Amino acid sequence: MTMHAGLTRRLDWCPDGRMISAELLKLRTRRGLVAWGLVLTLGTVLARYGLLAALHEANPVGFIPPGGLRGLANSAALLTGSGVLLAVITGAIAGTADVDAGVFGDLATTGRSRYALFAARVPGGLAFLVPLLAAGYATAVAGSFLFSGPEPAPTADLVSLGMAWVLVRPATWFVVALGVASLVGSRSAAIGIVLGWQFVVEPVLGVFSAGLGPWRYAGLTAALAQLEPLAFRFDPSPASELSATVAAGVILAWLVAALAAGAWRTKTRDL
Amino acid sequence: MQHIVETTRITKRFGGLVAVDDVSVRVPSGCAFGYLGPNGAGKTTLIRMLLGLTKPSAGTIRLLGQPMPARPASVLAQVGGMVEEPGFHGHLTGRQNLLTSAACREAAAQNRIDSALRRLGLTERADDRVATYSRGLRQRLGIARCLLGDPRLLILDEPTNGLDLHGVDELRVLIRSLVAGGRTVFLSSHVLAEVEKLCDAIAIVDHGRIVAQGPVAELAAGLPHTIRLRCADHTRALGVLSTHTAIQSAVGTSDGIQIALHPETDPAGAAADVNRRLLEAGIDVAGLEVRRISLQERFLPTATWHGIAA
Repeated sequence: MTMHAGLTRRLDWCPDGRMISAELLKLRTRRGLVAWGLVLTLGTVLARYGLLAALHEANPVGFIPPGGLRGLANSAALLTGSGVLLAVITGAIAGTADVDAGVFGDLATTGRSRYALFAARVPGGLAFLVPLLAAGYATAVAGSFLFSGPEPAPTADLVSLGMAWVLVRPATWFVVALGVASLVGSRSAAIGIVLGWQFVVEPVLGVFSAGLGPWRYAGLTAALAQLEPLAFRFDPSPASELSATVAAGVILAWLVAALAAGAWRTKTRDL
Repeated sequence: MQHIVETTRITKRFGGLVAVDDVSVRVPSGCAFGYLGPNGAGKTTLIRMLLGLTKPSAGTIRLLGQPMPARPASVLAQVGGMVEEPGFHGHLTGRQNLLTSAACREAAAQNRIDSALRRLGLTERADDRVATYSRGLRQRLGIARCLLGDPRLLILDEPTNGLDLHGVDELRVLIRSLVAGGRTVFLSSHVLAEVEKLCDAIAIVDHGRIVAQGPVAELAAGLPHTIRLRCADHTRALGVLSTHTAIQSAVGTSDGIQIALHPETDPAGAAADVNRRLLEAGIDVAGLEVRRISLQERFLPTATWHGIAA
């Protein structure tokens, strides 16, 4: 085997730009998903500013201006929440679209590594998700300055940190949903499992955290909460006793586990 | 002889069910090869194994001289495969679907999209969403997808499913042109007449086992002939014909008498002799039709075709 052939073989799990573009094409041409994407990013932020600006206009004493630092923090909180929902839906679709459409077998018969077919979904899905989240956050930032009134405006550093927070939290849940969807092969089941874990299982486990030993740190929601900029928090004390390093480790472990499970099932799926 | 597809004693079990049973197929390079059998005979399972979609329980496979599924990437890059009814993303256009498939092949595959669409007569509908396609159009698009890799070998599972008669004729021309261009086409079908017309060689399979294999001309050459006879008095006619040396068997049916001739018999001569004997016995002959029995009647007389016992 030549060195080139060996290198090619080692990299055959790696998708190229055309495969990633193809994954993005599959997502961005879904009218329903695009519509929900716009609603859950731009729509929520615009609705928040529109509603609060109207209330402030009608009753300036009872309602503070919707912008400023506080306004950006609230918009970011809203955006990460709705963004996670969009991310889970996007991940579930990206993970099951080829199997649902009966296309996966045809793609597998091209000889392309199944790992590459799976791996292409990650950047392809993020290429769909990130611009929507970024547009939503840009709108939130613009609104925070436009409607700041006497409130303090966010600093450039905080705007950058907020951007990272708004992107990382949904992106992480996207990868988890993608892995789960590829594993279970059902879009609705994947959405149910991921949202159920996030909104039911983790809060319930939180109640019994004392009895869980070191596993009490294993929740993804708590680990992600550590990444939220302090200035965005209502309560500026740390979100949990997790250190930033442990939180990063927990997030990484979740990502690796989700990707490994999805890749394994994609590789071994009998067609 | 170079065999482009070669399976050796390949078997596939699903629990207690043996879908493919000890199958050894040799497909010569540069021909159209038909894998013929009734529904449930294990055709699709064999094709899935050839394309690396599922592993055999036993036996070995070589495609283009390479072991499968040990070397799937290098082998399948030169193969175009379509299994059962082809799947597509309904919200994408035909062209976009081909684009997503071409993205998984070498860069040149993208440049073949237009020619593949043109070759299958899909240019006008290429930019319509596939959700609006008929089953026949989807079938054509599936074959177009197979051509994106400029394959040396095409493996097509029931390619004429969903096509109208005109579409079947066009596909026949396409497959023959691909073979004339040096490619090999391996296709499965449960329609015997179609395979006999289209293929140079065939394997006939029943209940997962191959019952006959070889060039169509060779298999057909040994087939005996039959005479279908209609006359005024079937009972007397059967008596007259019972001593005829060229006749292997004669059976009364609802619309006449079915006569099976010995394989080495000259069918035209035997028919003339039957006619003469009946006339000499005073039995008027209303109809007499000589035909060669089909491959299906010869090799799968009791198999179920289209869900109806033959």
